[in-house]
Amino acid sequence: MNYVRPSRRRWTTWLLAALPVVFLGYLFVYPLVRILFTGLSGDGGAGSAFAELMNRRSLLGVAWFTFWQAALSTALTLVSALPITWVLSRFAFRGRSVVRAAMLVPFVLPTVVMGAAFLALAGPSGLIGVDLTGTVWIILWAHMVFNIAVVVRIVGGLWEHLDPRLEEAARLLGASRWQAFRTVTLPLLRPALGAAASIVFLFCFTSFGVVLILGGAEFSTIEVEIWRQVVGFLDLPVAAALAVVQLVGVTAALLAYSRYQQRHANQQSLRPIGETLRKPVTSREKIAVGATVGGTLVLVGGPPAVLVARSLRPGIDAYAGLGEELPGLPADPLAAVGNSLAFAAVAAVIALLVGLLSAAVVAYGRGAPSRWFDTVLMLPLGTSAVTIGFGFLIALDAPVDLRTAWILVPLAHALVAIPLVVRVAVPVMRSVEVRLREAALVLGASPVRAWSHVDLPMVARAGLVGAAFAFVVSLGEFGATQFIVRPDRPTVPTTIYRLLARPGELTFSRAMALSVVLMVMTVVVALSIERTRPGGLGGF
Amino acid sequence: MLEVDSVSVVIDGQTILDRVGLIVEDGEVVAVLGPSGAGKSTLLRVVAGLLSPDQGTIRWDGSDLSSVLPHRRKFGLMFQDYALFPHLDVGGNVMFGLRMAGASGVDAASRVKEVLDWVGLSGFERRSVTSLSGGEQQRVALARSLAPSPRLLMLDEPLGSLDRGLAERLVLDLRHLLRRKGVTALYVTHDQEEAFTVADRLAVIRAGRVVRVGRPEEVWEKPGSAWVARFLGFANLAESSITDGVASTPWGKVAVPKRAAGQVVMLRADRLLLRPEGTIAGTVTERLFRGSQAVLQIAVDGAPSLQVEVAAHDSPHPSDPVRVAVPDGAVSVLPADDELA
Repeated sequence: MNYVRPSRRRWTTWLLAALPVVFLGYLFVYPLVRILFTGLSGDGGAGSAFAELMNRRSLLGVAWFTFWQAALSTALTLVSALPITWVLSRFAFRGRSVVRAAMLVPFVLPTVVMGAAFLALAGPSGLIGVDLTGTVWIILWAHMVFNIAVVVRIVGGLWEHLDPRLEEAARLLGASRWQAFRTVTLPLLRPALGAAASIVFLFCFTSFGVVLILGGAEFSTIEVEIWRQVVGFLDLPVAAALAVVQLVGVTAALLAYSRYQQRHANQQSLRPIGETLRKPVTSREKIAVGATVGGTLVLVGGPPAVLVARSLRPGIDAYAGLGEELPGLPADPLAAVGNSLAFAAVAAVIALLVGLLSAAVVAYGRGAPSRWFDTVLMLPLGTSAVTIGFGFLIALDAPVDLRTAWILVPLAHALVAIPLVVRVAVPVMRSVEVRLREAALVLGASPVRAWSHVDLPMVARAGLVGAAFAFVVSLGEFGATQFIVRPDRPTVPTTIYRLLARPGELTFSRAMALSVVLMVMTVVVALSIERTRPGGLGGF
Repeated sequence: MLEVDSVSVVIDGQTILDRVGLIVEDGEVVAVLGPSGAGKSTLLRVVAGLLSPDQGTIRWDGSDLSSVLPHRRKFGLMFQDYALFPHLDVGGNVMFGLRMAGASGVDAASRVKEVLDWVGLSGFERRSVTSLSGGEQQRVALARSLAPSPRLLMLDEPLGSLDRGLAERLVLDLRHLLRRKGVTALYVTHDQEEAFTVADRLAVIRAGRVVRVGRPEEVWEKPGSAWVARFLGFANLAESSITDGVASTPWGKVAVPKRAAGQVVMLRADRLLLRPEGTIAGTVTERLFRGSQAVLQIAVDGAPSLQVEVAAHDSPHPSDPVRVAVPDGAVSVLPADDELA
């Protein structure tokens, strides 16, 4: 935008920024500040809630468990994802793109669906015959399946562009296969491995739905504990103090992530995909590719497949019964589907509006304020869902009491989704070459017309993808929704959770069926994103 | 001594190498010369062990290498575009092969210093490879592949991505270095001048087949086929009928050696002469100035235009009428192109 004078540009930038700033300020920053104050004040004077945290062994234990299970889950995820990442980054074979898309499926599944699937797999009457609920194993297992996609995406995104001749050069200089991997490939992948590990750690550290459903009474993460303190004991100061402790952990993971993000791999060693993929030739390679693909497909496809099978055990009845009201539930499950779709649509519109305005500030603005804004925009993504819901609950009573308004749910969902919209739109906005716009100007278009004829068609596509992302996020959102959803307008995830919490085969099979319905809705939208999204990488 | 014995490679049903045979004696530099897509790089990958041949064997000093993994062959390969390790500095790149061989400490460091000195990059150890110019990267790649003293050095278009002037200077350095160190080398290029400069022997490769092997002078003097002649840049080739030592070319009858076999007559542009008594009459249509030489395109009635190289000073200009004489040494007879034409 060289044609806009600097003073005018700054003015326009701030005008664009106004709505996002107010939105994030009121719905994100303000609630966080209120949480901080609640945690600091407490009943017993300043800092008493933190003091209580330190004194209660159980709470310290929760923090410690949260940390080590996240670290262990991250390690397991990396180890189990590397073989398939290698295969997808180095070999061309029939069905490669299908396998690649299949790896993403668990990642887009809502946490309650994943929880339901693991109940069907390793729950009290699960397929494997051993009840693993209430053990750490099922939590680690679920986290691993969930996050393999993150590694495949982030590490694979670099690996598939890495020049294979570097490894060949190492081989010819006397390195064995393993030495070449360790001394050349691994160091070159380090930025991506670090970024993926930080993201996976972040997700596992703030894990809510999976731990709540599968962990039983024995295990809770900080996230689950916040929920218990609020709903079970109404101890807001301790919950707030926990939220602050969690923010510290989250910030550390995010700092690690952005540090790795900045260290881009060397451009010279990057090649277009066509040059790096080759067909498996020797029988050893064919076996390695086949076994890795098969094994990983079982690993990530197993839980959803078991879920579908379990939902069909009583025949089609479980699905037919979704329209029936169940005792103790305020609405029939099908009504929840309607609620969720409506919330998701509203959330998508809000996220698109605020997200595109924010993206424009980041993409077209220059200098420190715009970079600073970029960082702030990412924070809701890292902040845990429970913290956001909790913040809404304690903060949004003024100037108008929003806490019982239905709009609160889509607002929370939009807040979580805005960073995704920004991530999708900014690269597209930046990628429109200045020269194209200049060409339009020289051909007689005004700046506004130049933008609407050159940039808009490209940005519109990104906007569509961003809105779809927001839609998927909203459909599956559980942690924040639990705090703010009105009992008479439940969403699908909260309904599934309530069904799972009640004993009895009837409610369990309804929960399975409803989980399958939610899974199908999510996967359909997610796969259509995958087909239309510009570029490929990014957008977590 | 490297022996490539009747090696074939088929990829996706397409024959990339077709029964290729080649020998590289100890201390000899053999250039594999051919247009892009002829299979040159594939040949190097097979010799290196990065690709298994579908047929044929690679032998070193008589022993079959088919079960020897790439990292145990003690062959060096200098990649096109170099494939330098971006996460290591210059010293780290050159040191890599020594480390893999178990060398370390002072010995390895002094070897790194030594080979960097060979290529004229003394003191570059701590420089980042990404900060280097193209020519410097090329020399680091050369130093890296020479450091572990490979018994065979393969070079894949080592000067291909450099600009012409730099490439012409570096090719001389390369020639001297390979000779001085007695390196046994297989040198792949598409540039005939480069091949003539560095190689003791040439193997011209076409569509996966070796079509001519010989010393540069031999190949230049007797290309062996019309295709090789054209690939080497010769002009003035025409199919002609030959009877009793006289060939009827489009440009008129010329004398050929009695025992000449083949149907294609080539008049060497560098040996044709402009003479008032010349037998071929024509008009200059174009004059390409090449420094000390000029290349004339001469239109001849009822025949393809004829190319003649003359001294640049005092040469005729477009639309000047000229007469061309054909001395004995200017005529070659070549077999017609085979089915691959």
